[in-house]
Amino acid sequence: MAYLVLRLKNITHTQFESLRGILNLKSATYEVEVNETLAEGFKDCEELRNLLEKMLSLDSKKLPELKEMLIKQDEMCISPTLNVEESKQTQGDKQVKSIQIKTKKARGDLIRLILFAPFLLPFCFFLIWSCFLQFFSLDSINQTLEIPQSCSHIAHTKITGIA
Amino acid sequence: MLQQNTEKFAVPPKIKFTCEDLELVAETVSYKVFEGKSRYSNEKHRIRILDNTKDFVKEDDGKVATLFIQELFRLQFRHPGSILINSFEMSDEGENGKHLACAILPHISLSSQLDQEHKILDLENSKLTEKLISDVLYDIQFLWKDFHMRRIFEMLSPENICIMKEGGTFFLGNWAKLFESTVTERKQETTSVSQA
Repeated sequence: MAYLVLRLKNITHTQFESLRGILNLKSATYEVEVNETLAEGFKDCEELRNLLEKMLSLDSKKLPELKEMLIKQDEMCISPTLNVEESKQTQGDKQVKSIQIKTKKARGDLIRLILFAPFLLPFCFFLIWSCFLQFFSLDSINQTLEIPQSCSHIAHTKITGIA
Repeated sequence: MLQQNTEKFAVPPKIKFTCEDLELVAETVSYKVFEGKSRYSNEKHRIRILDNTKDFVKEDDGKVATLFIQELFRLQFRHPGSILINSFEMSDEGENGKHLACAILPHISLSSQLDQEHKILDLENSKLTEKLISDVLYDIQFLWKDFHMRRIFEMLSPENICIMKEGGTFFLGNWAKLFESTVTERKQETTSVSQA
């Protein structure tokens, strides 16, 4: 895996393989070679350099644990992949665009509210007024339906007649 | 040259109908990868087609087809939405048995990144390199634990590692290579036993 990373960065690693092939090789000699090569290739990223040093180590005790090499799945989705500058720029653009869309929406809502306010207010009044009227008219209907006691027997006959 | 390859190779009917301008971009032990444009959306896709013309596929087509589909499942799990499920096709047409094909979102192999002209990945970015190590190790872990595959490190070459252009997930492809190496080993063992 470490060799693959080195190959992708155009760093030659054949010397490591040939050193590994030497019997009774002092691990210090090998480590110096590894450290020098990695220091040149990974100047600005100490963390990755240390990881690769561990991965290339001859001593099995120094080899990194799997946990050290794996990035949590959640973090993986966020981390940049392709050209950093490009991705940063696109992320920035996306944020700006989303803010612009939001402000445009809010502005549109406000304009709509101002435009429709003259129509909405009378409509609301009309609604309230009609409710008010309906309430009283119902009450009046109830009152009209109240049949005076004197005429009850006539009404009764009429109603039954209709029925 | 590439077009000639496409003409010779039997492309399943549905893919032929829905995609145009197919161009061979990569080849593995068991399948070929074409780049094509959807006739409906004009979007570019990568189309994987099981290569029935290969002897290795012919010998154990069931196993190779299974690996082909399992690889797609894994990719969909790692990068949801990368497989265009509707495009998946299994057809009996053609001379060499079943055809399997599926369209995938655009991705590039790391081997193309070794060439300075086609370089689009910023490998100077340490985060990207850490992600590469992590993503590939997830796939190795999966193949080791769930598939009990060994000697996976032999296939850790830039040709077999790809990155999704959208989302940037690295993944290990060409799983059939592992199966191929075990088959050839077994063959060698049996021949040596019979010779003895």
